[in-house]
Amino acid sequence: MAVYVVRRLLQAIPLLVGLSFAGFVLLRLAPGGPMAVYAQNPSMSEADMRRIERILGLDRPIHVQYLKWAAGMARGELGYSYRTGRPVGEIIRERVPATLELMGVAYLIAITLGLTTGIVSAVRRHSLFDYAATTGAMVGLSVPTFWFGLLVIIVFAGGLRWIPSGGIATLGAPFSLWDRFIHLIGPASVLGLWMTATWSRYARSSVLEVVGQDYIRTARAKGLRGRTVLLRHTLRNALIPLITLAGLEFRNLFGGALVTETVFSWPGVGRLYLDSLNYQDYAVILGLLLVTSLTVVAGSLLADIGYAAADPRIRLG
Amino acid sequence: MLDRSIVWRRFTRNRLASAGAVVVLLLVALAALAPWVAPRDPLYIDMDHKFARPGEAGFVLGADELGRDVLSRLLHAGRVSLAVGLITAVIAVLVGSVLGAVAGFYGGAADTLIMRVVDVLLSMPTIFLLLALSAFLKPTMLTITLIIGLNSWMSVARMVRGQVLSLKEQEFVLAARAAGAGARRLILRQLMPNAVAPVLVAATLTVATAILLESSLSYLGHGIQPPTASWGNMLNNAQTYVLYAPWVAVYPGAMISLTVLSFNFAGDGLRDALDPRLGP
Repeated sequence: MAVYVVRRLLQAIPLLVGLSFAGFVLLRLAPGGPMAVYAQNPSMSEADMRRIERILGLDRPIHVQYLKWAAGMARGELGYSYRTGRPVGEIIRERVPATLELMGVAYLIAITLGLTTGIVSAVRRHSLFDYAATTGAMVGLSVPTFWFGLLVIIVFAGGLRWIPSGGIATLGAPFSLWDRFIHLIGPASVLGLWMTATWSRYARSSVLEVVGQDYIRTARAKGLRGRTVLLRHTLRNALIPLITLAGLEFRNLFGGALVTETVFSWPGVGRLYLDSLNYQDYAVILGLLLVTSLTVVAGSLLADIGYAAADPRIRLG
Repeated sequence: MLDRSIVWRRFTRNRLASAGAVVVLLLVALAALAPWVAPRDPLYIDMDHKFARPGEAGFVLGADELGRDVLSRLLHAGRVSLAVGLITAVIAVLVGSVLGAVAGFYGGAADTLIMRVVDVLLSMPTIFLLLALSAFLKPTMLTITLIIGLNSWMSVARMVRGQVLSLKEQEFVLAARAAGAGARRLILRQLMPNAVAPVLVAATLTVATAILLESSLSYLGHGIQPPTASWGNMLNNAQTYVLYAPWVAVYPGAMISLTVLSFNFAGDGLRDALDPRLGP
């Protein structure tokens, strides 16, 4: 197992190098770059500009700049916001709890609901439930999250007045768990139901794959009860590959969260990203792009290790 | 490759897939004919009829915040959204097939490099990357199509690479090689024809994702720029008035959903119809 973990960690290194390289190239491509803010200041002379360039190290050869930048990243120094001058890491950290809350609850909804639907769908294959669930999952994958969110707002915030139309808490009101819950329920359901579609599709096909195996037929043939075959033989084997999905889905989770946060004015990293884009604050943009990508890489790493822990064929193969 | 008539029969027997294909054709026709079927000029601003309700004053699906006709805008936006989706799929298939075939056929350094690029792109959250790119470049229809296309080829590349890897040591390829066929000929004549079916399926599904991505970008204000209408940017400011003029938000989203759903059903049906493991 230790050998597998080390091997898998080593495999992630070229990925990290590639990511940091892509991030650096993007930063260079950004219009104006780090000097744009200073260029807007009319009291800056040409000499001042050159001096700031020298202080920021922008006059050094490109590979030196990259290595310096990458070394800073490795130490967790994400640079300073072009707009406010505050450390990027600090700005991002402020927004993480809100996003974590949204993504966590949405993921919980997606996994429980998705697995249940997928398993029932596969067990009762070709039943009415199966057709409804597979069609529903396809609809879920095809409906844009932002539109689904707006529909939820129209119906549940506008028409029924059950939930507020956005935000994380009532402005100015003292903290109350109920208030937080009622604000969370809209965005979390939208993001969660959207991901439920993927989970139920994967769960269904994974269970169907296992049901066709010889050992299931053997288990049935030796007279085991249907329940035992389902729980001990089918599900145990069918759910293990889904550990990988938990890691892979991080990428979509971030994308979905960004859109959902926009629709429900949720003050998370997605909103921060869009606001930074509108202010051309490339330091924050790049910092967030790298942080989210690293989370995706870490997620798939953890999922692979979890998969290997659950399935000896992977770590020994 | 399967017999065409078998594929056709299997596809048409799948009701959802056939319905998807028919709707796709209808939508393409409507988009192509938009200038002739649209009742009004989609850009004509009529402040007297701002937020006209559906059916009011001849606005079949109502009017938006500037009194522009929602139906006419939907029809014209369809041209933009469908064009972006279809061209993106072409880019994704071309880039993905070439890179996947090169990686699988030559192996070695080329393979490592291409697959690492795939890994890097697949670890960045798509929307985040697309937003950054569209903010750096000037968002026009061309740049939006290009950046979505250049972020959609990875699954095609992986699939084509897998196909090429599994086929390149088979006898018919070795025979062609022994007969003196060069790399180009081997790839184009012997290997790629075997990947046509999965590539076709991937292309159909790529159109669906591309339309979703374009609409998300445009919704967020970093895709197709106004005054040109796309289904996504018609929802751009919808949040602020969604509660008293819901039709402005409901119809464009319904069009996106219908289009994406149709492409997805058609693609799924195509996959089943082309699957040689399933019966006739």
